[in-house]
Amino acid sequence: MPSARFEAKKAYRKLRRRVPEPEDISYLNITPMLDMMTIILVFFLKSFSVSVENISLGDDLMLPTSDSDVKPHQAVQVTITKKAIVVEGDPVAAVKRGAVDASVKRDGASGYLINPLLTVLQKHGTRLKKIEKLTGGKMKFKGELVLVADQGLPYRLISEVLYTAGQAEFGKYRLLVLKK
Amino acid sequence: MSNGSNELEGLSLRAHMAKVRGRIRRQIAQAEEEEHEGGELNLVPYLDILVNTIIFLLATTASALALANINVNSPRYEEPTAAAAAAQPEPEEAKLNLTVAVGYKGFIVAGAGGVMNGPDGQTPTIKCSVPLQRDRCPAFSVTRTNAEGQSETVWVDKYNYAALAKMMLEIKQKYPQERQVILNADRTVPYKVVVKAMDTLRGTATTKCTGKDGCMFDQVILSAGVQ
Repeated sequence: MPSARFEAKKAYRKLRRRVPEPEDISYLNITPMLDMMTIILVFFLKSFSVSVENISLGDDLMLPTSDSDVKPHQAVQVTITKKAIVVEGDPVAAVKRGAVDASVKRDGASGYLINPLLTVLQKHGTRLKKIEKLTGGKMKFKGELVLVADQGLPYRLISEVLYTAGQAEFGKYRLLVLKK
Repeated sequence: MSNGSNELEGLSLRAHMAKVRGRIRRQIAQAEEEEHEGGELNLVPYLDILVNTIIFLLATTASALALANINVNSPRYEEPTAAAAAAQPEPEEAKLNLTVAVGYKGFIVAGAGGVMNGPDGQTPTIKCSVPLQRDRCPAFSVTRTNAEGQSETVWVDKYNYAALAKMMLEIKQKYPQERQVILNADRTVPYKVVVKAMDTLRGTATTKCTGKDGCMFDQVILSAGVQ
């Protein structure tokens, strides 16, 4: 009898519909999105690692405001807060009431040269000159120094730091300020 | 006979159906298995991390500070070499050597001709805009409690920058080629005042330096204090 076979085929087709079609899109293809995201992430991380703007301001470090329009760029960074002088993240001397202790200065209280700062800056100078030599003059040592200083500090301390930097062959000062 | 054949038919039909069901079950299982072990990594957790990191980085960039530089130089003492002396003959006009000092009582302006006196014939050249307090022009910060009970730092700065800007413009008009200024300050003058004085000396423009476009003296040389 053909009816039994017919019934079976009918049941088969009916059940068959429950099996998902292999061509159906059951999920989104996220690979291109992932590619894009990874590129953006790498770009962000790269631009972050070279930015000078990695300073945290607070009560001890508040930059003065200025209407200067010169873009900040990378150089040896000397930070003077109300509590310490920091070179490239390494503290070198303590600051108390807007002055460094007379014992760390070469000529005592009336002196200008801050000994530990000179040592550290000379090390940086030697390193940068070595880089200049190894790159065949492509990365020239320009003697640039970025000064990040609190706006309330007395000029005397600033000039002491800048004098010391000048002694270590850093003669081009870039004062970091907040844009108005 | 008909009963028997019906039974037989029903039996074979049931057997057939069971067979078909088995086949379909196997097919479903296979399809599911293929879905699970499709040979692709599960990238969704990775994507979650990426999205979070990017949002975090974007948020920190948005709140980044607007920073700028002021370029200043230290005084240089260079031995004049024979070649340099030959290449650069002495200029006809004498150098202005404009010097501005931020003193305790006001701005002191000096040039090659000597120190400029104020209107009363005495230094400082530009007086403080208010009467002196403890013999000094007030420029300091005070921390006080505001109406909302939070402490805030307020700057008091009474140096007369407007008068300094006016005087610098007059000097610039007399010496349009001059761009250099030597700046110094007294011992305890706050850094903020020095930076503001630099802004005033530079004028409003930074691109050219003719005096007409607002740029006055942009080549600042810092020197040590006078006291």
